[in-house]
Amino acid sequence: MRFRILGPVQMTPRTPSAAKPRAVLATLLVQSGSVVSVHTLIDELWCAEPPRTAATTLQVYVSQLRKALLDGAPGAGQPLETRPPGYLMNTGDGELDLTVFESLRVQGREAYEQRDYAHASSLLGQALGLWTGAALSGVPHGPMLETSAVRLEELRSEVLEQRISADLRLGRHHGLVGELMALAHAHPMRETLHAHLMVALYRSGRQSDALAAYHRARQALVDELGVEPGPELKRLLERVLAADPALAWHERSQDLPEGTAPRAGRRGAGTADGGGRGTGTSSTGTLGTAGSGQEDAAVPQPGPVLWLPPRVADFTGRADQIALGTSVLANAPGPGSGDGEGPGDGDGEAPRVLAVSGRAGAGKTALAVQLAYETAEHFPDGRVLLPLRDAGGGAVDPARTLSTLLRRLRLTPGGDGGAPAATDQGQGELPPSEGELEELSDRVRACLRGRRILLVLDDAVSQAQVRAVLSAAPETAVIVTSRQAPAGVEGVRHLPLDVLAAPDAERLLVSAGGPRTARDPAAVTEIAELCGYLPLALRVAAAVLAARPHWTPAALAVRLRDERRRLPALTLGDLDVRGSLLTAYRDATPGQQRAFRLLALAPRPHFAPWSAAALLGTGVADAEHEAEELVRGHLLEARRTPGARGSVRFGYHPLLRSLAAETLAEEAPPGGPGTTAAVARLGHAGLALARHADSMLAPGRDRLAAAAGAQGKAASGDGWELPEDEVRSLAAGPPLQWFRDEAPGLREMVRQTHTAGLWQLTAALASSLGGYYEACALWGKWDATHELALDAARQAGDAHAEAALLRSLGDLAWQRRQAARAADRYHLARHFFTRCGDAAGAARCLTGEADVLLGQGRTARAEEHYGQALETGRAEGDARGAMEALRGLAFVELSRGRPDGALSRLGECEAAAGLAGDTRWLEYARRTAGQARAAAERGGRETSGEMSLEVRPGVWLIQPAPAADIAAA
Amino acid sequence: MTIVPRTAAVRTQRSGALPTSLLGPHHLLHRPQTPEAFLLQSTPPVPQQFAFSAELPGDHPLFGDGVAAFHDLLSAVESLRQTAVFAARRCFRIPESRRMVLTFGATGITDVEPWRRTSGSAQIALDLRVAPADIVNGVPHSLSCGATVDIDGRRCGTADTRIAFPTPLVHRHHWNKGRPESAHRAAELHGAPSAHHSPAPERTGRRSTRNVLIGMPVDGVPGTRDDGLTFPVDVLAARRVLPDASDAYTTALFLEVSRQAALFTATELHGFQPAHAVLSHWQASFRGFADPGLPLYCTVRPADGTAAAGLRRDERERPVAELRLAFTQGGRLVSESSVSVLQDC
Repeated sequence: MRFRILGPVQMTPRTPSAAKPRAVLATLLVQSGSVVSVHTLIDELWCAEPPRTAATTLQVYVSQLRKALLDGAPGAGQPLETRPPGYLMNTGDGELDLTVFESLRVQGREAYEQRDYAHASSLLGQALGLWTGAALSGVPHGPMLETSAVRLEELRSEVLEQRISADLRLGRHHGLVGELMALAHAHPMRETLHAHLMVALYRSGRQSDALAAYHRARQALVDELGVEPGPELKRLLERVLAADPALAWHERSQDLPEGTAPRAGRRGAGTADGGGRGTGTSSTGTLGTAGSGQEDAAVPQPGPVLWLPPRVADFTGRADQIALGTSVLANAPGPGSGDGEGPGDGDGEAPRVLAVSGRAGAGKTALAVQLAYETAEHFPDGRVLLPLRDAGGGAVDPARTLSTLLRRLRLTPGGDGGAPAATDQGQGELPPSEGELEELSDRVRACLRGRRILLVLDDAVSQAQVRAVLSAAPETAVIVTSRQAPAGVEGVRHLPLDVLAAPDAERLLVSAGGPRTARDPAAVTEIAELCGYLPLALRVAAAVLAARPHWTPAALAVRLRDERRRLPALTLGDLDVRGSLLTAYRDATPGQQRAFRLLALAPRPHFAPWSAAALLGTGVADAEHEAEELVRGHLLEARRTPGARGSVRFGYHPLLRSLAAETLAEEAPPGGPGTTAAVARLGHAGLALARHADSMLAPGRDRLAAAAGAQGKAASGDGWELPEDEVRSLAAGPPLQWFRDEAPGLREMVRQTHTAGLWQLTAALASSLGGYYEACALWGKWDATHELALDAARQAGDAHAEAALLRSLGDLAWQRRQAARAADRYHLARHFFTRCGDAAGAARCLTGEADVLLGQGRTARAEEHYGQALETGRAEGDARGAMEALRGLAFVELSRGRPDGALSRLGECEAAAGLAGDTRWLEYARRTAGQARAAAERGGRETSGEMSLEVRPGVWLIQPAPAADIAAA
Repeated sequence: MTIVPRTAAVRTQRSGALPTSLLGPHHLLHRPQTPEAFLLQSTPPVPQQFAFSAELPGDHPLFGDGVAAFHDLLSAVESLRQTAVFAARRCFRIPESRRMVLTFGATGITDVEPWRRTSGSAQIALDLRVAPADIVNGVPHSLSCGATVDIDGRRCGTADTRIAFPTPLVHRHHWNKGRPESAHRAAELHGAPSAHHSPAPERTGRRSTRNVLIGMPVDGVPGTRDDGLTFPVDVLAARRVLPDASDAYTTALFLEVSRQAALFTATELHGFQPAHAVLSHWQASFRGFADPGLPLYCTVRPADGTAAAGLRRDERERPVAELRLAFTQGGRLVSESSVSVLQDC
């Protein structure tokens, strides 16, 4: 007899045709070997409404079943027994499909646990093969059958998932994709199936499809259950996004020969449950001597070896680098082309080593892997990647590297194909068998001889690591990736790698980030810029968007704008831009690390060496040397400013600046003594230079500088100061150009010193910028810095500083034609100057008030003010003040139609400008005198059209023509 | 020479005197980029930068006569024009004999808030860049001007123009070429509808009938499209109320007529309320001279041809009517512009 319940309920040779007897049969078979009570059977058949004759009817059904059972197996005995309080069905071995299924399931699970995946797959597959449809189908279900059907289906799903898992471990991912797609579609809530599908797709080179599978699964869970995927599925997503090498499957080039290939599980490549490693069993045999022609039958024949992570699916840009690298590798000398003594020996020989260097996150490994795939035809014997940095960031021992290489070439005991571990060092692997570097080198050389193989030495830390492999592989083409270009290695073609160009960076974001990013090009442009066009950061940004569908690109851009939140925003599981950048920081010496941190306070985007000197508290030359060392370590960038001056300035990559600020905050919290002292030194240096430049731009303008000059220059609190000759040298050249270069940094210094509570320094810095802002009418910046500085002056209770800043703000309001505000500020400034005993300063404010009055047509009052200001200026020896007042008096003369008087005053103004040393005002006085003369020659005839007058150097007052009478028109 | 400011000229003249400029006295500052510019005001024919500041007119007879309480967009255009004229003569030494011809003008509001009138005065400031082009013997034949606009310290608009300075000969040639072309069809225009019937001023965004510069829409004007509203331009009214409109059609006229016609059309097509509507964008190109002696018409149609397509919503879901305008004279296209009217709500 054969009984089936894993599908339509059947009994061979004859299944009862009536539904109720079949239901009785099914109920008894589900509980095969156990008594099923009459009440249970009645409930199963009729649920809550059994007929009055239910018991009798049940007996009839049982009788029918017994007859059918006997007919089916005459002479075998009646398997359906009456056993109070009900009935019992006995089935023999193998008669009931459920029994067979459960036996196979258990065996399959045991085989899986023993890592005998092939056997497990076979057994579990047989178990699944027993199923012919939905469990217990074809009969009406009561409560017991309903529950049993659910349980059986669940068992089936478990067996199926375990079988698929075994198949994945056997590398059967290609064949599983179709089956898994159908299963995932049929069971959208089963995360394990989706995880298996993602792994299968990923290993089949369909990374983007793997991501799409995740998103479909997530959508189904959210739509149906309102929940996000569980941590395992999310973790798998991260690994797919990161192109985790441990997730990949690496094909064996050929099967091991019969008799030598162990029936052991292959080294596991990692599965959806987080990976694991198979315990490869040994293939026996000794190493044959390569090239001897005598090969031990037990030693596997070497064939093409492929030990590379999958190439990045959306590799973008780098066209020039790919072309160069391909050319170098394609033309690299092969085996037998040299005497094997060293790389690239012999004059004119093409290089065989391509050294890709650049900062962390620049995409060196991705480029190397891409090159390895694209030059496959040139390396028929294989391509192998060897990481030279371990998981802790330290250098891998050269001996271990050679040992790993031998293993991957499958020529050492324990050698096995399959996927590499994520870091293939020191994790349950065999130590170097003989442990001697030289012997290992000889063995590598021997087995590489005559083979055209490409080696990729990834993330080299030291020259020694590289040399060890190059010595052992003298005829092998090599790509080396490292932060700094390897020095002292001959026959190397260097390929420095910088950040991507902006268009490539944006393209990468769009291709990796999906359709959502493509819909917001403005946000993409900003994100690319805030990531500093660094490939790692761009990929993480794209991954963050992919993993968080509720974030828009614009929202990510907002997070990235905040420098403090930038690095935390670029983190997704193990994808951590900060961690990558930190490796470069940790490679630096303690002194360099200190410099890296402190220079985060320097003006942005670029700063001059003097700023570095001030922050580090050293001389300019020493500071420049420190900065150059940081440039060499890819922690700073250097650029030469255009033009004849062509000085070098330094700056941070945007993400490195964030890191610098973070590390500085950790080591020296903002407002702490260390940071404040550095800011003070920087502020004093900036002040000294700005005052010097301002004294050339507008001599005698800054009253605070004059007072400081009288008191003697103040150094920073710790005694550091910029030597006088350096100040003159650094601020040499056209003062306008100097301010153009340095004003953004000086403005930032005003903010920094204000934040640090250095009130007087803040006020002095802002005042030193006033002349530049006035000359170039930079109203917004002028207003912002001076309002901040005014607050600082008030905090310090410094009336003189307050006066100087108010006067400057009065000039600003006057330029903006804000007469009332200008008058108020001049008046208040005059009051403070007077209180401080600075009569010259007060007189200049009087001139400002007079300018306002004159503009309002109050000529007489203006004249009084000008006159008083002139008198005071002369008495105080303030040539500049006198100069400004004389200009005003000249305009008074002009307004009264007295050009001769105006010319006289302008002559005096010119003389005063000469005394003050102000060429700009001197030329202005001459120009204005020329205009006055021209007006005089016109005989004082008024023009009726629009008029313009240069009321201060570079400031024109335009007046419309007089109103026309409508009636006259 | 007098430097007494004529601020009084901008105020309402009890005598009925017409202000000659939209703006009163103002400051124009040259931002030196080179040592010689800083010291000597010496400027080669390369791009120059300026800062401009003026008080916005409070009670101009035309531009203070709006039903909607907004500062006039023309303020920005006029500021740019004034700067360009100054730069042309002072910095680039373009001779006075060369007349100034506007070939392109555009202005737009980027933030409506500062444009709303409040009690008290308001200050307009521009950051300007003036770039010379078509330089012959050191003298440019055209200038490109661009500016950002701030009102009371808040960034709120942009303005751009391109101005040509043809030689007198070239200018006369173009003028002489255009006039006969328009006059050739003058006969066809005889009897064509004129601007005698004017719309109610509120429909054009003005309070006073005196300030209405368009007539009611008409049909059957030769040379105009029939898929829009065609307005005759009331040239006589324009001469009365616009500065410098006596002998040539000016930027102010084209902009003001564009505003009135666009407001009227936006009301007709989309039910806008003129008291809450503002011209938020204007961009015009000028094909040639318009003869002051011949009738001028302005045809307005929705962008993309359909009423529905001409209406969009901004980031605050406010309706914006997108319109296309064509100024024709004797069937000859004189100017084309695109205009946006925002219903502020």
